[in-house]
Amino acid sequence: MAGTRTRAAAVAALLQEECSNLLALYREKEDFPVDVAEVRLVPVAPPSSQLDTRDKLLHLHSALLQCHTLLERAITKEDEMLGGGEKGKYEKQREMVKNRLSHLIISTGELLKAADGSPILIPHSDDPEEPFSPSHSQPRSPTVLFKLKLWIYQIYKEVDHWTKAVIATLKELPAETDRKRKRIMPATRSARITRSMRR
Amino acid sequence: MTRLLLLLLLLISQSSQDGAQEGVLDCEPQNLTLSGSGQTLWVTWDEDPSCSAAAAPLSYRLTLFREEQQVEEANVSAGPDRVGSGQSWEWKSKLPVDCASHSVRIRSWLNDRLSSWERRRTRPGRNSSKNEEIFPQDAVLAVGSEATFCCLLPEGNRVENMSLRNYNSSNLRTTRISDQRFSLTLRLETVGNHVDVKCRDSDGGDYGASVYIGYPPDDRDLRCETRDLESAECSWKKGRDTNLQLKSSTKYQFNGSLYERPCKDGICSLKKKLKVDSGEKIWTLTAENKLGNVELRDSADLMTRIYLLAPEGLSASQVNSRNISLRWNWTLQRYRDLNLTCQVKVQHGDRTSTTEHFGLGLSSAVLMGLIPNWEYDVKVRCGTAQHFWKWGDWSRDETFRTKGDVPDVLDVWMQKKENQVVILWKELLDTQRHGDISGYQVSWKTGADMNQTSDVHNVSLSLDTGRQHAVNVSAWNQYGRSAPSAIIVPGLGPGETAVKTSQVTGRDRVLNLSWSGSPAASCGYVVDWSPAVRLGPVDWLKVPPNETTASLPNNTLEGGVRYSVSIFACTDGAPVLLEKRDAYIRETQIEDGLFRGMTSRQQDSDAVVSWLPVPLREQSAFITGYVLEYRSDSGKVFTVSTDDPEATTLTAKHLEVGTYSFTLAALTAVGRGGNTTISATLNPPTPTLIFVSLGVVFVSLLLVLFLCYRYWACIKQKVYPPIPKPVMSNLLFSSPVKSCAGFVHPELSDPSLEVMDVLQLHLKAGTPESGYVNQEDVSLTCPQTHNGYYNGTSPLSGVLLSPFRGEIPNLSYNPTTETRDQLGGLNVSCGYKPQSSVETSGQNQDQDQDQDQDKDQNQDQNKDRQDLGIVCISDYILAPQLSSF
Repeated sequence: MAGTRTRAAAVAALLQEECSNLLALYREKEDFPVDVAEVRLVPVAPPSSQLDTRDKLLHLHSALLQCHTLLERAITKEDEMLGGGEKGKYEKQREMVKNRLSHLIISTGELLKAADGSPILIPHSDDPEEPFSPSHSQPRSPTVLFKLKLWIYQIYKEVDHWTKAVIATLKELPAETDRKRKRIMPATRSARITRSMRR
Repeated sequence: MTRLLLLLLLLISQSSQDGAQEGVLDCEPQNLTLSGSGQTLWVTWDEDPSCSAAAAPLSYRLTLFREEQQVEEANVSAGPDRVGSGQSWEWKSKLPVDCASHSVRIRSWLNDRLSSWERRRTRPGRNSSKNEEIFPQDAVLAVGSEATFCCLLPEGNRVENMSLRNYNSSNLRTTRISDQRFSLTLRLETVGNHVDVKCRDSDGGDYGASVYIGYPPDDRDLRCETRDLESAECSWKKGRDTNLQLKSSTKYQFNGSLYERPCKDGICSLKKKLKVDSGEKIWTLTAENKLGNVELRDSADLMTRIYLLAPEGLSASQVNSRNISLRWNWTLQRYRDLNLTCQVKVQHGDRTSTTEHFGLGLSSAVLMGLIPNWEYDVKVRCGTAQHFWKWGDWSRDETFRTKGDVPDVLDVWMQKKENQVVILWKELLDTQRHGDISGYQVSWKTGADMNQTSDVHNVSLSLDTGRQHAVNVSAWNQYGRSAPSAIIVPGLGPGETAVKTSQVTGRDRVLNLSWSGSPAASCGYVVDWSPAVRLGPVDWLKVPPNETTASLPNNTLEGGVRYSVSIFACTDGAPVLLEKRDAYIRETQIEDGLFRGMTSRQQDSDAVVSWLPVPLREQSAFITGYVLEYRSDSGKVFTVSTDDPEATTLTAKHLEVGTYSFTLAALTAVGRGGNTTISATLNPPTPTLIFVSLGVVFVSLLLVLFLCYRYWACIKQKVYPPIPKPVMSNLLFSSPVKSCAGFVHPELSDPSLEVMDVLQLHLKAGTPESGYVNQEDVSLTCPQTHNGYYNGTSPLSGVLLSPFRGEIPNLSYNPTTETRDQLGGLNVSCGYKPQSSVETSGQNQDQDQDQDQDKDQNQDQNKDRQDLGIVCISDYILAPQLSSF
């Protein structure tokens, strides 16, 4: 658990740095100000202190998954409307963030599993416009170019926001997890035994 | 009845007008409307029927407001044909009419009387929308056009500014319409495929719109043709990029049918099935995007536009050493009915050649003139011979190898080296071997047939130089022997040395030669060359008879190296040397330190600088002369030069005393070179004056001596007056006077001889002032021979025979013997030498003894002489004489 948590924290730290770079590149590319009004695109409540570890991880995991979905949609739409020509520094950074986010999703999924929670399965979408979306409740991407640019910017900010949330949560997590681990260890073991017997 | 009614109406109208003249015009416009689109507003109204009766022309006054501010006031005259019907007015706005609300009011105007205002009509602007604070959004606009963007914010917000990144501000114009409405107008330029217009409100909120900027389609050059004779294939150029691929890609319609994405990499094409036969057909293509369209047309008889497909199954049906037969197939049956012209491209290495062949449904060709044992790549393409349109596609390459053959004839030359003749031939090129060369055979006749084989490309032959020889050379490979190549080696003869050599230098790394043509050159000329001084291989080239110029291949020549070039006439017999050249392909600067053995020699006030002739190998350019630069201590520089390339000295004249540095350089076409410097000190000129003075003194001294000698007696008489002397007895003569070895007084030795008329010289050592007498001071008595001098054998004879003999006389005492002659008038002077007895050496003692014996023998004779009464008198003592120098 500790190893997974450490790895997840390291991945999150990297993602946070890479996402900052991506935001900077995008701002430069589109001449956007830093203080564009924040709009929450991921309808997941932030992991409050009221929640237990499992639920916190579940919230984070869910939010990251939605971020990933949004990011993929953003990339697809951007290439479609603005041309997916030569891969420059921005495009490479964008791809790097997407891949790092995938790693963070896997890491938080493992943490969630360790906390006796079930990671969320990634649903497969048949809609090429919307590659995969855990929730079709998300609004469709804008069709107006300038709105699309703003939307993409907000998605990057959303990824940045939730990455920071993961970092903050993982910092708080150890004591709780260790305590809980001690507490839930027999139950977990018995649960495993039960599952293996069922198989 | 109707007329009555009209008259009544007119009267009523007239009466009302009369009433209006006094107040407000009753004739008012009705049903006012305001509409708009883009940047145009239309105002319409109906004329009051009561106005129709007015005699004077009716006008309308319109006032237009934008956001409650008047922006236009216009007077509109009602046209005579519109009287009584609807009226309209169009107004062009600088802003999109949707940007703001517009309102208009109108009233009639007749004879300076105005009606009251018709009720105001308003066209509201576009309302602020959450998603479209700026409009237009995603507009597609043409480069160079002017566009206006409006920013509309909800009530309570205030537009701070509108902006556009990377745009020249002189192309921008912003207008504040109201607090919530702002407009930005700009002339569109190409800055990527879109630009963003942004609007910022007072709270820092950003809004924006993107606009795509591009061009209408620019497609051109539609051309249709057929390949399969079953369809038309049309192609055209896409032209300028519209820049709108993402937002408004160009749509194509060909003869009314829509075609999707027919273009790739700027070339567009499409295919349409049709029946291909004679007769003109017309094709129309329309390209369209949001900014416009272009229509292209083409018409032709497709039978004149046949673009053939590539031949299939190309193969070599028969392969020989120098020719092959090619075959190919046509997959389309209809091609076989066409008159075709086909190109066969033959490629080997970097060389390519093309031949053309004709025929109905042509499907074969024969290639001639190929190189044996050589690999070729061949491909074929065809076109219609009648109404040729264009060449069809190339077939795939076919590779084949010709059969082998005997080698080509060798290129043979010769080089004479002393008594040997080297027969050389050039190595056969790959294209000339036709197989694997196994060796060479050289044959010639010297009485009998001779031959020799060789693995290398030359042989040395010892031939009789007295006559010419025909030498044949052949090469062998696995297919046989090449035809012999003959060269006739000339016998010794004059000629070669009589040919003058001239100089030639290359230009731009090419050495061009030209020479006078020779009628003897029946088979052309041969130019050969080799380094002038270094042992190097001779190279040659052969020139056809009608040419008298040649360029030597520069890869065989090295810059700065002198070459000897010979030009021969190729004749039926031996080659005849015509001209010779010394040549450089490129003259280079001669390196410093060229002159070996450079020395300077002073000659009076001149310095003669000399050097050894410069060896040819050190001449990297033709030397045309030399220049000597000399610099004195004081820094003055002088030069002297010669244009004689054979010179080996240069003289610097009239130099002052001092040290000079002499720098000698060779003059060449590429400048001075070979600088060599020496230093030399010029001494004062040889002291000639001193030598002259010494000479004068010497001559004067001689003169004095001569005078002294001549007048010695007189001088002596004056300086040393005579002292009375006793008369000496004959014994005085027996004193030990040393005589010359072997010397015998002629009179004593041969008493029979007559008394000589000449004086007998009695040499005796003078008495040194110190009084010391050494052995050399032995007094000698050296009588002269009868002829003047005695040619004796004494070792001292050299001294004695000298024309001058020194003797310092003992002036103190000179006994005199009076001879008979003296008595009779002849005086013989004899010096007294008292030291003689002391100085007699042992060596002379024997002589003395002998002489004593002689004396004894002669004493009698002497007695006879004494009897003759010989007396020595001082008057005849010899004057001192200088010894020889």
